[in-house]
Amino acid sequence: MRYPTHQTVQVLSDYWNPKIFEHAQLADFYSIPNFEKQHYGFSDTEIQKLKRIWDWKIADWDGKEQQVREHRYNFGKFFKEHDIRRGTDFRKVFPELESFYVECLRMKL
Amino acid sequence: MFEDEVVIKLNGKGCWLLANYSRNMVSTYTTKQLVNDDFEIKVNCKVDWQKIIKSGVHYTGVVCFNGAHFGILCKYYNGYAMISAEVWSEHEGENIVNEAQVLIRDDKLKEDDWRDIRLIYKKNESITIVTTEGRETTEIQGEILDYSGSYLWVGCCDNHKHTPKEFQGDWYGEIRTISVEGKERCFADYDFDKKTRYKCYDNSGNGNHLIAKHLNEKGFIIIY
Repeated sequence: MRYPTHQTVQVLSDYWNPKIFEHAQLADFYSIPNFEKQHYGFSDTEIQKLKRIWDWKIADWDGKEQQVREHRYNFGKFFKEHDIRRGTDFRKVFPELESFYVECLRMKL
Repeated sequence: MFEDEVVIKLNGKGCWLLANYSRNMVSTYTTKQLVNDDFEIKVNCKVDWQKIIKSGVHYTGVVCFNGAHFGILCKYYNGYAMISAEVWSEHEGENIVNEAQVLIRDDKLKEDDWRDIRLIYKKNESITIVTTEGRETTEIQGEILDYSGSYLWVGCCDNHKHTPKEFQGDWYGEIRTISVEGKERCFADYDFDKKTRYKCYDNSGNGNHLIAKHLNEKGFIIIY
């Protein structure tokens, strides 16, 4: 997912980079050969999709740092407003992202 | 709490392998990198010598790179059983085998115990075998052959269809664990706790999952 920009994988910290790759490796473990028609497993396309997310996440380009800063700032703003308007609680639903969420809320541009 | 023992059983009907490339490019440490430096293979296994003798094959591969065999082999000829580590090299214009081997006592042939086997390889220097019966080191003569295109096989020497039966080296027995240590870090680690009908999980984090041998209609190994 590349849009909306404040909800893409790019907003995550570098801590998650190896985790994404590990999931591509895990999908590869659960893959099945093309001749298999009876059992389910990941196809090459699905594994490559995970690989591509990782590739894009670790890629670098001019102005990336500033763009990611803005996306993280918007991420915090968006979910704060979402919680208010929809009566949800981001921290309860995604406890593993709580510290990241708090960090985004504290950001100033 | 009892748990079933997790092993893989090799009976000549199937084997496992690791190709020299990763189909989905998820390997972070390839066999090509491994064979270009020192490394060590450790296996915990139980050899079924009776079936090996009955099969009539002189040498069988526990963990082995194909081509000119490079790895841990169980051999039986002239009435002697032995476990060896071997690698081929080019010396004075000829390909020669460098092998370190340990003889197995006759009483072990009826029913062998679980044993640890270690192959210690120092590139272009020496190859060592260590197991219950002892340890032996052999100096490598000349330059080792190019193994960068070889597959790593578990339970045979080489199961490509075009390989003659006597060189396929199907091994008989059970394997509990295999670990392959490169010079700086672990290359692959299998305890067979996590496996599917097609793959054995690599605990090292390098994505070097073993795959079960399957051939396509033309007889080529399918890498998946």
